[in-house]
Amino acid sequence: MKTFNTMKTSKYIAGILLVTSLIYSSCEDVLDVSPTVELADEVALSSTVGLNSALMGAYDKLQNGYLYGGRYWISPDMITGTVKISGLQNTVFEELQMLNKTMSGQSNLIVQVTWQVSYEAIGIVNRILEFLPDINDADMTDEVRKRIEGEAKFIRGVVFFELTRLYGYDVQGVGPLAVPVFTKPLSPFDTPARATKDEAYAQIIQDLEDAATLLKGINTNGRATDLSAKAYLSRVYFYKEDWQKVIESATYVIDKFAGKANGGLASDVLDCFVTGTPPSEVLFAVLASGTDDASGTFRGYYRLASNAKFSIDGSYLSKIGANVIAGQDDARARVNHSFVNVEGKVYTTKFDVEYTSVPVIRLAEVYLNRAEARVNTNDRAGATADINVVRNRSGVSNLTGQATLANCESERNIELYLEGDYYHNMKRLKKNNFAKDIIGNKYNWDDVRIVFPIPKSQLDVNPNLLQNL
Amino acid sequence: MEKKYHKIILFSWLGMLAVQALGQVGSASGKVLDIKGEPLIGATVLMQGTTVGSITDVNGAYIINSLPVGDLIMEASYVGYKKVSKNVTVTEGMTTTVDFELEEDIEQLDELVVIGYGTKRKRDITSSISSVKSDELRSSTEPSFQSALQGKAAGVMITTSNGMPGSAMTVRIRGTSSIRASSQPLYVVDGIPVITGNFANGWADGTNALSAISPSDIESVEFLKDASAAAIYGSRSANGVVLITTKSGSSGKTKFNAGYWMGFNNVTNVPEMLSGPDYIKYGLIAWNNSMLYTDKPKYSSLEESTQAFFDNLPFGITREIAEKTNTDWIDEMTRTGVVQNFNLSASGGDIKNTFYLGASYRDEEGVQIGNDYSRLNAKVNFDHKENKKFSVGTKTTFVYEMNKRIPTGWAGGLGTAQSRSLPVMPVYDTTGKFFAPRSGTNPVAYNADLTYGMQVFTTIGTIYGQYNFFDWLSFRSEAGADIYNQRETRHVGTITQENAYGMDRRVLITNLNSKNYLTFDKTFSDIHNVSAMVGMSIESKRQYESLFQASQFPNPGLKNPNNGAIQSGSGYETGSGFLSYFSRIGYNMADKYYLTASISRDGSSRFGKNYRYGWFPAASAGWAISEEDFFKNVPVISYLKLRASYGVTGNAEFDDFGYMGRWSTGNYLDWPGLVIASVENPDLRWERSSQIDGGIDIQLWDGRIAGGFDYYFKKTSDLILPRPINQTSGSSSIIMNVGDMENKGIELFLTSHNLPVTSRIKWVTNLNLGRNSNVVTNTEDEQLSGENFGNNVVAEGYPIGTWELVQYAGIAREDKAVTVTDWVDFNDKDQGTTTKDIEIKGGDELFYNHWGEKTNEFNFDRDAKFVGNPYPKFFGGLNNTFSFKGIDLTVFFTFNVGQDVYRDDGKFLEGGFDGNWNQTAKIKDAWSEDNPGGSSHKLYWQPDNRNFNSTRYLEDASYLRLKTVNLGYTLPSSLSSKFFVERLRIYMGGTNLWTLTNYTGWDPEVNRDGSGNITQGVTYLSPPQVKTFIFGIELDF
Repeated sequence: MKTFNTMKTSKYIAGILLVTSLIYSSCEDVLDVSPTVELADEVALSSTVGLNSALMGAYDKLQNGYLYGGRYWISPDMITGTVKISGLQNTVFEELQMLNKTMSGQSNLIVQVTWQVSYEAIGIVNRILEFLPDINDADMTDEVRKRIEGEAKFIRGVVFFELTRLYGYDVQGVGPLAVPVFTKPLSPFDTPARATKDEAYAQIIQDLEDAATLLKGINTNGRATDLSAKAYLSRVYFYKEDWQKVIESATYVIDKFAGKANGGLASDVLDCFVTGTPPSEVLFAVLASGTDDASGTFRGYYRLASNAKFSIDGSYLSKIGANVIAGQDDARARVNHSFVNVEGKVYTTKFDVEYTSVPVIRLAEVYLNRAEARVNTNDRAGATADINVVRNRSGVSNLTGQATLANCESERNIELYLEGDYYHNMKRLKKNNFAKDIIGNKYNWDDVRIVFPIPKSQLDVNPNLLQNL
Repeated sequence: MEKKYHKIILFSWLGMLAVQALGQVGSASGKVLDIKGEPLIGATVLMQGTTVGSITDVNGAYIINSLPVGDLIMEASYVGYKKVSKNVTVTEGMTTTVDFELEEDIEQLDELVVIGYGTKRKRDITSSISSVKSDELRSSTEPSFQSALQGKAAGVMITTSNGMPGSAMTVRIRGTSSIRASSQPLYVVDGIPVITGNFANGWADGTNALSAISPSDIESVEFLKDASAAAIYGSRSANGVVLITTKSGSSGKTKFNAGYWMGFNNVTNVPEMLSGPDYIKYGLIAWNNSMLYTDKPKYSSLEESTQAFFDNLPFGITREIAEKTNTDWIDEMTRTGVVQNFNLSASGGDIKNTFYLGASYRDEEGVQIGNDYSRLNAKVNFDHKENKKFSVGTKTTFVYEMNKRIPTGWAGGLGTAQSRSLPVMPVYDTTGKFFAPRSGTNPVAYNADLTYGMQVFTTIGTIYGQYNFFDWLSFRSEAGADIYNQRETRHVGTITQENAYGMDRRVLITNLNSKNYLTFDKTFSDIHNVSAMVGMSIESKRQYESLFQASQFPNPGLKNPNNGAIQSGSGYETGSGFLSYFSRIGYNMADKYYLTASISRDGSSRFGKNYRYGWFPAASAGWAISEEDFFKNVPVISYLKLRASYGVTGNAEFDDFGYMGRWSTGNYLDWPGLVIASVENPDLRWERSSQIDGGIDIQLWDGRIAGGFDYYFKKTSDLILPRPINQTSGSSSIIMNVGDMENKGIELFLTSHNLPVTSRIKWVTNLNLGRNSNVVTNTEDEQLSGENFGNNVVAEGYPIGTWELVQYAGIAREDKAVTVTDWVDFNDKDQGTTTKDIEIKGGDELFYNHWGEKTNEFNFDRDAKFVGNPYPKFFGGLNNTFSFKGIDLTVFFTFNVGQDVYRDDGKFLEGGFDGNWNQTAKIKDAWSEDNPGGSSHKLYWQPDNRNFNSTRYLEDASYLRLKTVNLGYTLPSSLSSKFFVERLRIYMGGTNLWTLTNYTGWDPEVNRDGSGNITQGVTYLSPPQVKTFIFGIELDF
């Protein structure tokens, strides 16, 4: 005998259905969980604070030991052979490959990681520039917008320039290629091809000119300014050999130092390598402090007190006139000032200061860029004056006679040694037999073995990339 | 309204009786005994079809009054025994004597087994499920209940990392099924998916969040092994599911159970290290071989060289001290630990309410000095049956654990004692202070300087409500939570380091879940049974961590990090959610033909937006041949069932936010910065396993022998692996579902009642055996390394966790000149091979090169091969239980055969003296001109052999272990009733008392860092397992 109440049961059923549908609709929310110690894309760049932080992240990438924190400068000198193994510290496989010019065909770690970290920086700035137009919160003023855009574009221009000059090559049957250059964030599955050298330069120049315009009048201590952009442009135009533009950009910068002692230069080259903000000669530096080290990599390679991996090659020393004679006039060549000689091996002292900021571009180079541009546009007097500014600063007397291209080259060699310029300049000047390996073989400016190959792992995932052959 | 309804039922029942009996009643009384004539206490005697009845007392006697006069059927039943019915005539006003004799039901085919979201009779199961009952757990002495399950379920492999209480456990059901995601099964306690894993900070050994569950509260553990059993759990079922059900009360007089045991813990084995005098003796031989007896000797005489050896001793150990010191550091760091366990429970109730209350306390001294563990555990299970329709209840546990861990293994403690603590260094210096406390090699000093505690508060609880619309349709709703609250404090003073250090770390994990399901179960025409279930479950998990640490404290008495001069902190938060809809349908015809199908639609917050939900179907079928008419006359075989299943399961135990594009911090000087941590993979989803299973269940001679056999093949695909991507995206790798792996194997179990049921002596043997072989079939051609050191790799075509090592070829007996092959250019193998001449010296370690030739060169890149397997070829347990009168004896062996262990510390402990590490006694058999057959290489000082990863240190770690022995005596009921208890049992026994193995390290059951997939079977100074010898007493009253 079963008695049950239909009314009651249907009430129960209705109740259960109601509860079930309520549960169903709010249940889906359990699948929406957001991280709090890391930020999702949309959240990270959705405010001015976020964009600023990302910009600092991009600077942080420049500090990386594979970029301006080290190997943007060190790799060219390993390839050229201006440095050699000192024996104080073991070298690693990838360094030996660079010294021996056997990078191609292998998965050289330095080649791989330089590419990777450079593109990490590009990825950050492209995303900043993508999100920037849409941010209109209370912190976003016109000046802030211009500053963020200017600094981001500066970083992008600089990184693409370094990538282009390290990986770029005149590929057989195709022409001079650079690296993939793009201004929008890419997904992991995009396969961009390498831009031509001209396309790359066009974009780099565009970015730096924009930066110069945007950053005019804005001066954030220790970060990129319009002078940084214009100075760097003088370098980019220099390597493009667009002499008029070199003079224009360089003059813009140099005029700002009119009337200053030493033409605006510091009293000693080594003064540019200090902790924190360097003197005004340095137009842009990647900073370091006691708690955020930018130069650890440099110390490991060059600093005697840190068991420097490398000493300076003798033939290079002769080339730059750095004779190991004590008491020499030229501060840049003086032993126990710019060099030390220990048991017949010569070490640089440029990176002896612990936690030194890295001067990416300095006024001395701008003078030298303009000097060479002036020689090439028949302003020999102007060129001589520029070179003399640089020479005088280091205690060297004026040039005898009018400046020649040879003067420009030799002045550059000694002023900018180990600052990542020599290798690129030799290639620009199409010098033969300028690079050498440990055994003594010599290499020409267009030899594929002195160029960074495109990393093998990238060729594997991107069929559109052509290797340097 | 309700009460009225209730009364109607009651009255109608009574009315029925009244009508039948016309107002007349009689009584029945008698005894319920077993075959041997012993009374069965607490047996139920009922009038069939009613609840009118009674329960037998301590003499097995019962009496039922108010029975209707006339003919009726009476039933006697008792758990584990076959029900007996008798026709009885009741006479008015008289008491009829009805005695029952019950036979043990060894077939147990009608026993209930817990499956996901319900229970099923054993005979109706067509999936592969292993069930372990509470009495099989009761002899366990280890704190984690999982160790009690070792060797008890075929195909389930359980290893403890080491013998420290509460240490991490590796559990694998049918092999390892993942590379980067977890391979541990899903644990469900009373319907709540519980928190598992290790959340402790550092120090070599992990901990086990499940150590909170006390074995004495467990009623049964079911392992859902194949897809058709587990797929109902959707995207978390690929590694199998472990269902744990805790005890419930039952109606009747309140039963109390109390137990106490006490035991002694010791290490299972101690390997022999060099003593002080031996260290000097053999160290000098090594020293002189390198410094004196060479082409360019560094010293000019034996005296000078010997003195230089002593001068070279570290930490200020002088010759004088060294020559009279013989410290046994292992002995200094180990002890016999005392362990005690006390538990008490009460269960009982009436028709409406039943309860089970349990409490236990465990206090343990670990075998390593300074390692202590205690656990306090309380359980409240309560069920209220309002009426036939509605019931509610709760099952809740509260646990407090205090685990005083110490550094061990590679992090210090016993690890240092067996490696860098030199036997020529005394523990104390002449002034009574610690000798060289800052050297890092005096673990006694470190222990004195360390204050550490890990406290864990765990609450696991669920409440449910069930409404039975009809007896064939019911709805059940459950809501539960698992809350894990851990606090670790650590302080190290200035005795052993320059700056004191303090830390306070909190971890809070909350897991909230609810499940709601409707069950339908109806039999049509007596033979067609249809069951169906549809439901949903939802789960939300959050994990919060914060760490506060400081260094430089002003005073040794101030230990809180707040008092440190230099403070820093960090925090972490993560979480996940799961939502699942599922359904299952089953058809059973006459208990002969079975068909089940289930489907689950599972969604998780861990999946990318293109794959938010997955479908997980499964089906199984069974045919009970023995129930067929044509089989009725087959002799011997009393039950035979064939079954097969197929299903798809998933694994979602990976990173909570793996699919998202994320930014993390990258500061530039003082400016806070953000950098890209990963880019989005919207296709990230569960790892998918498809599994087929075929099995046979068989019983012979009415259950005298019962057994089963399963064959399974499991193919796992979409394994998540980090893959390189185009770096122009701003990141260099993302995790993608690309890998494949296979596991296949067999399982066998056998239970034999060796003596007839009527015999006075009872002897039951249980054997279970599992065999699994694993091969990684696709890793996109990449070789992956293990999660930790140990040389394990993942390589296509090899089992997961295989090692990459150079093959060892013994010790050269004498000098020999040989010609061997080598590549012209290792980096350009197309250039082919060439030969070269090498000089082998007596006493050199020899290796097989790439071409199988013996050489004394060690060239890892050229010669290393994939060798060995950390997972066993077959494993299982053999249990024998005897009982005679009041005596019972259980002897349980576990065995793991065919697995290897790589002694990653071997090359440092046996590779040669370097001045910092002690060596094992094996180097005493070093090669020398007088001992050309030596098993160890010639002794040199700081030889390169210390870096050679070869199979010399890869050992077969097969073992047979006497896991549990328990001998008990239960007082006869006549005696125990004098003590006012129903049952009193005293016993003694032990765990891990005896091991048979060829392995030369501490213990063949070891894993250095917990439960990774790849790094398994590796020891690096890892502490050993523990053997325990106990005495105990338990009472029911």
